[in-house]
Amino acid sequence: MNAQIGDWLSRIQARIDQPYARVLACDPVNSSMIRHWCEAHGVDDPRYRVGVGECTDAQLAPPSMLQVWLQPGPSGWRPEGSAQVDATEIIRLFSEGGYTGLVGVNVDQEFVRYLHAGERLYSVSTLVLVSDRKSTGLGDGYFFTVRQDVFAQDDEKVAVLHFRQLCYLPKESS
Amino acid sequence: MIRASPVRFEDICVGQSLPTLRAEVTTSSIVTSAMATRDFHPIHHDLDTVRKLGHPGLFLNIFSSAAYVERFVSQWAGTEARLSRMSIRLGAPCYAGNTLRIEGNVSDSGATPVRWVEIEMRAYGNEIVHASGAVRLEWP
Repeated sequence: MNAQIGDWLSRIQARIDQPYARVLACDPVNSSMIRHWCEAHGVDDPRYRVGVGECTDAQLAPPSMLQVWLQPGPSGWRPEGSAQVDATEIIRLFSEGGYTGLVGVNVDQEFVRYLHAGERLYSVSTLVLVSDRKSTGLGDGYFFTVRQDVFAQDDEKVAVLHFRQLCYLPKESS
Repeated sequence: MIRASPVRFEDICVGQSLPTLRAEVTTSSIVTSAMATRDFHPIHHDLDTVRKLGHPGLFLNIFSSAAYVERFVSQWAGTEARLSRMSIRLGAPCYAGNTLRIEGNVSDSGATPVRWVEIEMRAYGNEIVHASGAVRLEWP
């Protein structure tokens, strides 16, 4: 049992500061997805609009759409040439140890510049921190932080994101 | 509607409040924003799944919470301001049927290397804190 526990945890710890291979965005930054996003959240901002017959290259994307461009499809599909595994693998490793509860704690995003329609992004994710085992209101668990560096097609870094999450051992429900 | 320059940087003072944002969060708006942010996790579109997990209904996904926070600061700051940083600490879920309310004020400002302000914000789902954090805006 102890050897088994040590196995998944040591596999997680071995991933610290080891960047995963690059994940490619499924689509370039584009006006259709920007418009859907604006409609869904009631955003009416001329920077994110493109008029009929206008060239879309000048159209900017909302900065908080950053992660949207890098989401896989509903079946997990990623484009050809993209890594299929990134730091979300850590969640699966925790669940192997029984830590199946997952909750986001905080997200910190830095935007170097605004993106515009037509840009192709990729990201490199890295597990940067795993806490000691902590006792929390949800159950005992581990806090961990993943950094995601986002690049434009010419390897220019356009954003950095830190996401801290908690994987916990769910308390027995009575 | 965002005007070109609703607020002038020169007129901003520390402590100043931003206009409160209110949005009715419904099952329909949660599913719409989950799809628009490509978050296909069933907890944002499948009622059976969320009820089995003990939730009263669907709840807003994180990307959408960030979208509302961006709308909150952009509506006030206008199209000249650039959002350069957003730090969000997550609280309780914002459920279908809740009114999302975002409040905030200017917590700091400066002029080097560019003109910037920092905004402290708090988002509530009904009266419970859904998210809190800080946003930094820059003016060219």
